[in-house]
Amino acid sequence: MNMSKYMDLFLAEAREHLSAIEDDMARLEQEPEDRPALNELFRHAHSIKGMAASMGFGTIAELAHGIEDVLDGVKQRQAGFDPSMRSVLGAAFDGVDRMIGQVGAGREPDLDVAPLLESLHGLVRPRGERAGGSPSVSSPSSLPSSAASAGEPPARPQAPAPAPAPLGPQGPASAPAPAPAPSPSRADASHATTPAPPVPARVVARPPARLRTVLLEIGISPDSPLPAARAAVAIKRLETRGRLISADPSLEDLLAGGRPERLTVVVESDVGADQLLAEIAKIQDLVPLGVTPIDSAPLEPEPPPTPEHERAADPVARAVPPVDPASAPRPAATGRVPAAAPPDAGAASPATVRIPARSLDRFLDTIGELLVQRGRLAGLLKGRSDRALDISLERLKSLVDRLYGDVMGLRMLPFETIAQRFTRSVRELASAQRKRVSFRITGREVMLDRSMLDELIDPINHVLRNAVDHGIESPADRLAAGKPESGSIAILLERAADSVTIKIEDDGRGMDPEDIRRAALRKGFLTAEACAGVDDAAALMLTTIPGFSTNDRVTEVSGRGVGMDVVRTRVERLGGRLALRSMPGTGLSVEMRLPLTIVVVQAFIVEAGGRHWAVPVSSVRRTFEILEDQIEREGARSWARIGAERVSLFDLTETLGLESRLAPPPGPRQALLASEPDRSVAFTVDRIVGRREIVVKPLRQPLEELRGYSGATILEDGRIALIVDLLSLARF
Amino acid sequence: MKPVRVLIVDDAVFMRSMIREILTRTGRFEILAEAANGQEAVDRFVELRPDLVTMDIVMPEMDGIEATKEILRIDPGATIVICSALGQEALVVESIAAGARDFIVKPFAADKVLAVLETVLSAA
Repeated sequence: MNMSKYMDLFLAEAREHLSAIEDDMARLEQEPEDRPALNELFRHAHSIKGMAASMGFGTIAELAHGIEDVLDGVKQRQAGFDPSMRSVLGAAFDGVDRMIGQVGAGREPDLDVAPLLESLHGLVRPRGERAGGSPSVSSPSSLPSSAASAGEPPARPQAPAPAPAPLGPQGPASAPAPAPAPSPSRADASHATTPAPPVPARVVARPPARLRTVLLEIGISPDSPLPAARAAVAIKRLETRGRLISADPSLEDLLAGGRPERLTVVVESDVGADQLLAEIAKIQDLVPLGVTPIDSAPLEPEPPPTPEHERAADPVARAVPPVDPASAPRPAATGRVPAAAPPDAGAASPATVRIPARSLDRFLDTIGELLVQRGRLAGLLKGRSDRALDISLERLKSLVDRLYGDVMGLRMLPFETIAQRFTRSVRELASAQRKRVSFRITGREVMLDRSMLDELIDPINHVLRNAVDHGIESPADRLAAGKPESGSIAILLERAADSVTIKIEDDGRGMDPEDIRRAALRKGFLTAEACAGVDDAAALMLTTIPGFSTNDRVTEVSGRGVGMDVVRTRVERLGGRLALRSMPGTGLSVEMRLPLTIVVVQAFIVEAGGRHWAVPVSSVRRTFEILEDQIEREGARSWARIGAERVSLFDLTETLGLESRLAPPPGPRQALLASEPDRSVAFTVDRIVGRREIVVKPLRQPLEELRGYSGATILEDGRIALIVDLLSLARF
Repeated sequence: MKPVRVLIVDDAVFMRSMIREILTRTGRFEILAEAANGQEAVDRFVELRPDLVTMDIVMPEMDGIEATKEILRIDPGATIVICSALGQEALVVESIAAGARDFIVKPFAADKVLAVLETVLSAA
């Protein structure tokens, strides 16, 4: 059977794994205790093994398998990751790299892996008898890569690679004979060519464990003296039971301190969820709250990136399909077994329940309304001093807060949930363009609200497509420019106190602000003088004006295609902000800063033009007062001096095109200073009414087309206030 | 059932006696030795290979975190439980991250101590 059509994919993927392996080895060198790096290294070796086996490259698979065993040993605490191990593993990975190179050059891999295998086997603590001969590569768990599995079983007709020399310490007693070809009757995709010699007491390859990914909710008793430490104990315990995909708070977070009240963990394990919970329950101060199965593998092959308006319905909900256990569909024979198997409920009532995503949304809406009403109640009761009423109100407040926190917690999922599709997109796009791209995602464990995750899929795909299509140059161009042949694209997630930043960076052509300014001039978007006033950062943002790049040829705007206006709109609709940074020739960074929740935020309520407006506290650096004669005016523009800074000053009433109902105050005017990393603006208002917690209602069509507003809210008195985005208002 | 062999590490004689008393009362534990600082802890560990180590954090010569890391380097499967005072949370988290299995907090409540040790030993 001809595997050559998968060769490109095999090579591309294998190279990706190899470059990721380099990073992980470097990390482990720095910090031998870095378990995530170790686990990643294991997975990379495991993937290479599976792919190589499917492609019929027995030696590569064997070597990868040997590496896998060593890493598994470290994971099971049978060995520590020390310098001697590093050098053996390094040599082994080099061997794999060299053989992949040989394959890439169109040759058969012909490295003598025997000495490498011997060193590798020497690193794992010997366990019982190990039969002479090559370790099994026919592990059922070594599923070939998704592309290969779509094809036929990779049964290779010719003789398998000769078995390596017998293993040193275990004794060369049984000289290995080349293994016979597999019987054709069992031709399914999961078995590779070389069947195992008698399997020793400790199964070298893992049995086909049912790996499931679950989200665990763990409560930490408020009486716990050291809650962060308890949470750390839980995290470490779970790490020994499977692969920890994400934890919130993470171990790093816990090291920084705090008194967490709950811990949310996503774990992939072959240990049943109920047993995981039972183990957690045994830890002091911890109370398991619930388990949600998460299916992180797609149920069917990913469809090609869909156009904006045809986006598949709620891909995030698909990740946790609401299924009645009694009628759960059997997993498809092809494709991977989804984690969404019926719960191991048995006789006792299950520890997990599944509800449609819509129900969660309804809960959240209701809680939002509760919050608003609570605020109203507080307002109405102000001035009536009644101790009993006060106490009751306080209690109500804390109950609603707790309920809100709990439901919000249920809605949060790690970015990992949507990460897989991006890896696939980039790989497919790069291969279609015959470009080499190495792609990585860091911060996969960062938790985001599920509907936000849903909304981010398209914009991120857009940016990735632009990066591959227009950003990353062809291998020849890259070499000519003195860059490595393989381009790199990365998605980096970082969490701050109440925001998340998603950066998509590439090391391609970048964008030239000068080119963009000229293009804007030519297309009539800007006059010559306006052009001169546009600084480099602003110039890049010009590409997000609708219609800017529609008819452009790739060369004119240094490589960006259509869609950036859509990306920006989506991001702003989520209450976030888009920024572009670029060094022409060196690369582009697209940064999306998003609020952590899209439902309830703290906001200043201000009065302007006789109406109330809401300004999210997260965008306001400070409020201040300014006297009329402190305002510097130059023609139509005004400035304020704040500390050492000179900041553009606007008046909200004027900017909104309204008339002020109040006479200008004789004394100082109140103002807000809004900032983002490289820009600040200040707005005077008629009055700052106060600070409130507001429920954000997103604007629907056609209102969401309006620039400068990021939603609406209902105030305590029942009136509607629009949420203004000061920084956007100042731009237009 | 074989008794669990324990090494108690704490620079205060008082604390060591307290833990010793809590553990020996049950008959499940056998106290092999005591150590008064991290260096001694590592030495005794190597010498005696106990099943369990209770480790104080703040000690002269070598602190509990260092000793924990040292011991785990020698035997990655070692079972170490941290004994900490309130207000040392960051250090405890660091120890757990480094491989200690769990912790107990001073002043000790016998039932809590035994519960924690029970869990740790059953999971090992």
